[in-house]
Amino acid sequence: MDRLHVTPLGEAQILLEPGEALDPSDSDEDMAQLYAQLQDHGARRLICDLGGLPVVDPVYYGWLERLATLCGVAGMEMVVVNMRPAAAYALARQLDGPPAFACERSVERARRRPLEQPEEGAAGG
Amino acid sequence: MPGESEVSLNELLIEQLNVNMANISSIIEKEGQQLFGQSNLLSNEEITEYTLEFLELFVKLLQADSRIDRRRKEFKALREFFTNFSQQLQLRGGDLSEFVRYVQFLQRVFLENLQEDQRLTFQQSRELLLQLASVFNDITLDVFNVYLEEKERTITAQQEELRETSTPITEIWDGVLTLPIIGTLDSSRTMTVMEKLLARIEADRAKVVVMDVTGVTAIDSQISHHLIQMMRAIGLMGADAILTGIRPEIARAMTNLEIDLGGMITRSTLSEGLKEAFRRLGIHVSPARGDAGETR
Repeated sequence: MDRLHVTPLGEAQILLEPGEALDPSDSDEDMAQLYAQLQDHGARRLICDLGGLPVVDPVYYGWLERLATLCGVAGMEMVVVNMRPAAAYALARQLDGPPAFACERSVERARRRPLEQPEEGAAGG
Repeated sequence: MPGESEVSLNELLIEQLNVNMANISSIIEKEGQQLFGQSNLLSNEEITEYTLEFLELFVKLLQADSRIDRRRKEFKALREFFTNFSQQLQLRGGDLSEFVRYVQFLQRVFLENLQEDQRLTFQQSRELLLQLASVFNDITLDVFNVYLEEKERTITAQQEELRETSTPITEIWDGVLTLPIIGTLDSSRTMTVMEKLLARIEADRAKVVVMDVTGVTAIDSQISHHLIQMMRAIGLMGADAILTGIRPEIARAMTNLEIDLGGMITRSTLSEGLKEAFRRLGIHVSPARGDAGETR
């Protein structure tokens, strides 16, 4: 998927870097493929790197919301990282409530977030 | 026959100026000294220089054509002369009204000088009056525009300075930024503050931002909306936003406006906000050994 670049980071964490070729208004097939990949890796957290995105418009935010819903279905946490000032500013103006995902400054900080345990007493990832 | 009368008018003016140049120059200089010399805005030499330059430019304008054409370079040169002159005076603290009085006086000098010429018909006097009035009105308007532009520039610079100083973003600790907000938060200011703040978060890799609104004395739904937007933008950048210093009257207004700050971190004072910031960073601040007081 050249539109969505996926890198397993270990510890059930996956890094997703949306490419320039991504069409956020037509991404159903990409989502299905991504879901399969996440399941294959047994991922618990999806870290979405938006460092290359200059601005988040409503269409792109719609795509991010669908991605967050997908993560919810897969029982995963979604963390957006490296959002640029202009993108954060544009998105903050569109939001009526908290975003559908968590945000961190960098991939490293997202990785260090404590993961919710799937069940009580289970070993952490 | 307007063409002929205009030609003769310009000629008459030039003739009068040539004959009475010394007298006219001396009257203008005297008035200049009274208006600008007494208040030390210009030296006597400067007044003489300005007077001579004005008369030279005015004669050139009259000689350029049979009638005064505002599009001619000679007229532009005269306007430019007055623009520079008024700017010079303004820089030295001169008053606009003094300068306008000076321009009106120049016009009067020419009219009074021509009054004594018996050759002038009523029609010529009328045309002369209109012609001089139109020239000096244009100059007065230019001076007004220069004055207004300068004032506007000063006000804009002061506003910019005020904006800069009223939103000082400070890195108070590694990864902790503080932003005290003072006064009203309108859309334009929110935009400026947000731009600066988000850029600082990115540059400093800030982890926590403490926004202190102790200096905000009144709030409405728009201001609170801007505050919420700012806090969301901070969160989207991956930093924690802490809002501090909400005064009781602001809290009451927010309740009345049904503004929900649920999900946002608030603390009563800046000090409490900083403690929360340190707690989030896992920093423990305690008094130095030997100091009285408990560890916090």
